[in-house]
Amino acid sequence: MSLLIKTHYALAKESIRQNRTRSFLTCLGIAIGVASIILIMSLAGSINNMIATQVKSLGADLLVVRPAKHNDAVSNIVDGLTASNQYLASNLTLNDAKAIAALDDVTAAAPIALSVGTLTSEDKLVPSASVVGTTEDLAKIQNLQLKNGTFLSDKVENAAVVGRNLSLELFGTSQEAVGKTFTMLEHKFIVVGMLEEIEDPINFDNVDFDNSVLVSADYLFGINAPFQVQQINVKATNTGVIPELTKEMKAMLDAEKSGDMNYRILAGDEISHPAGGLFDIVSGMLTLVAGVSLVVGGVGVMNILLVSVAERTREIGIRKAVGASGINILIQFLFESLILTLAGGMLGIVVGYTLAFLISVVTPFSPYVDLGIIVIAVGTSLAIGLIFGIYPAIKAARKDPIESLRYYR
Amino acid sequence: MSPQDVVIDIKGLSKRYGYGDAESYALRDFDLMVKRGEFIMVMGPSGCGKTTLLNIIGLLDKPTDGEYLLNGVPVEKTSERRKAKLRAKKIGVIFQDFNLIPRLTVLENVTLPLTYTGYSKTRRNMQADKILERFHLQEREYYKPYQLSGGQQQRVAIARSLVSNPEIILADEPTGNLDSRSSHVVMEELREIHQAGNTIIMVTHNPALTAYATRVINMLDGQIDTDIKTVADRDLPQPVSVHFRKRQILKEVKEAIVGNKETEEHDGEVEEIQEQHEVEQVEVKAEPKEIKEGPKTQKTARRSTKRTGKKSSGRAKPKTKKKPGGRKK
Repeated sequence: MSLLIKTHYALAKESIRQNRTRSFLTCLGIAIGVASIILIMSLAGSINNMIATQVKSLGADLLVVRPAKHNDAVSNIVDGLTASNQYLASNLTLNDAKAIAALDDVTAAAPIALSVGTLTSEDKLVPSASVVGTTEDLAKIQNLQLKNGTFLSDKVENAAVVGRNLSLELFGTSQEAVGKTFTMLEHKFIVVGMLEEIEDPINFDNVDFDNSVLVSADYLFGINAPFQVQQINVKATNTGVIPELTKEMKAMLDAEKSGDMNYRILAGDEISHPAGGLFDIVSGMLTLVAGVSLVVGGVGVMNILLVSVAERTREIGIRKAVGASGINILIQFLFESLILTLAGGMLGIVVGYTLAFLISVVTPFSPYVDLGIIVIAVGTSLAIGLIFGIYPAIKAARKDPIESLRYYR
Repeated sequence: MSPQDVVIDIKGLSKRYGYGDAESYALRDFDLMVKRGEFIMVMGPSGCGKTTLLNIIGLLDKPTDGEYLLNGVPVEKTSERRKAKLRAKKIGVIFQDFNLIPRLTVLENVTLPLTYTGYSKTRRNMQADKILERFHLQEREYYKPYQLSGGQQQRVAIARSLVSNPEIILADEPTGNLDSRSSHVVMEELREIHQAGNTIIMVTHNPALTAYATRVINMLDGQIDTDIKTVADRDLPQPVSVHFRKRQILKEVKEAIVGNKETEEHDGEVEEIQEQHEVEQVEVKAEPKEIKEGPKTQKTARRSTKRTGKKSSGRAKPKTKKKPGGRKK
């Protein structure tokens, strides 16, 4: 049996080799589809991977409280598409963060209130900078390196820590921002520290710290800024207490919100999912488009195989006359289809990863090479080969040998 | 003659095309019995059903009606897969227009029937090589068919039909596209194959070629017009390869020795019936006749009666009753 398969493989390879250009073009259709799938998956994987390593480096003692609504309900995905609306569903408060911080097993708990504000310095204006309201605890939870100055503290309530890029935009310097002032919502803020340039701008906070300014959440709410708490980052004293701490927090928050359960407590790998639904939707759409191009490629394969079957009618007749059964012919053409799509898939993997590497040169993404993705790509191309190859193969197998022998090109 | 010697047995075969008013018969109530080692030439005007007959014998076509026994086995019930296997192993086909696959080399074309038998590539190539050597085409192994002359192409096709050691060769006007010199070469090859013991059924339009045949059948309107044998049955070449399993042979040799007495009693009767070709009678009478020819042929006879024994045992008595009637003819 294995011998027959080997023979069929050789036969199919032979006939593909006869029509090099045609086979290559057919492969190309599949290759483009597979390449785009690889590209999307490797970039998505790279983002997830980035966050996962970040979470891992932060330690397994990290817990994150997030509003639950827009992660679960389908209707909220649409809301999630517009970034400014994304966070309005939250009903977490600063007091929740404080209450959590007061728990026994918690080392630190920092709220993250995210919004967009217009910042004005002496001579420059940044119309929509990302503003993060938080507390000094954030520095204990996440490792935010300061380039110079200090982090937020209770002593100076209108203190601000700026990211490197924002500092450039606002003050025209990435070196000596400390001590300068800017205005937001008619309140003055003084810069006490500047963050080191962040290597991976995508993180589980969904905050691009390079382009953000961190200010005291208490002060923000004090001036009635339109902010809501998006997330509360919690650091436990050690990993062992996490299950218990989760329960404890849950009980407390439930009591606080009178059973209104629209929040989630995440730990470990759960955190690494990108915070925004937008990302999932975009990558989902792209995958869909890539899937469509794969189907188109598959139709191309089928088309070529049908032509090939028609062209080789006489050959099929001869083969049947000298002892090939229908199954033999079927397998021969099916193998051809599988080889074509598999070759296309391989080409697609190479092209996809090449593109991913090229993109990684100009963006902070690093292509995520994973056996799972390759298996999916190979599996998909084989499936396409099978689905679109079976009809021409059956057609070839059912040909009447006498009719076929009479056939002239 | 024993049933073992009958390769092809066709009874009341019909092949109809079209329906209603457009109905036409390519073969009508056709009877034919082919013995091992015969070289049959089928002649007749075009449209008399020669090619249809070959297609049916070659298991490529199905008859509308009638019975076709190949080596004693009714083909009707054989599955398509089994038929394909039989085509690959038992039947070699030669066509008028050679039907070599143009994109394959000579060697690959010749190995084609072996491709579907599950042999390794080395073995396939070796076997093809051997057969090509016999046809003096060895140095052309890697040529493509279009690089060969017509005669050479047809010799490649013959090599292909022979490569799996088939019992039957079916040739549909093998010399139809060839000049007389190439025709002669091809016919000489076919004769050699025939001398080696193959059964050949060949369709031709050329009356000059009938000199090669042991039997010439003239067909007319889907039926046999004349059927002339030029060589006696006993002078036919012996089968090239009839394989037996060792154990079976031992068993049958034993039977041949022990069973001698029992069969000798019928001896007298046998001689007369021998001349008649009806299979039913032959089946019953086969054993006694074979004894004279020695233990080896005895084996074959025994074996086949055993095989058919189950089916015919119920009918055995009526058949023997028939005998006297048959003799009166």
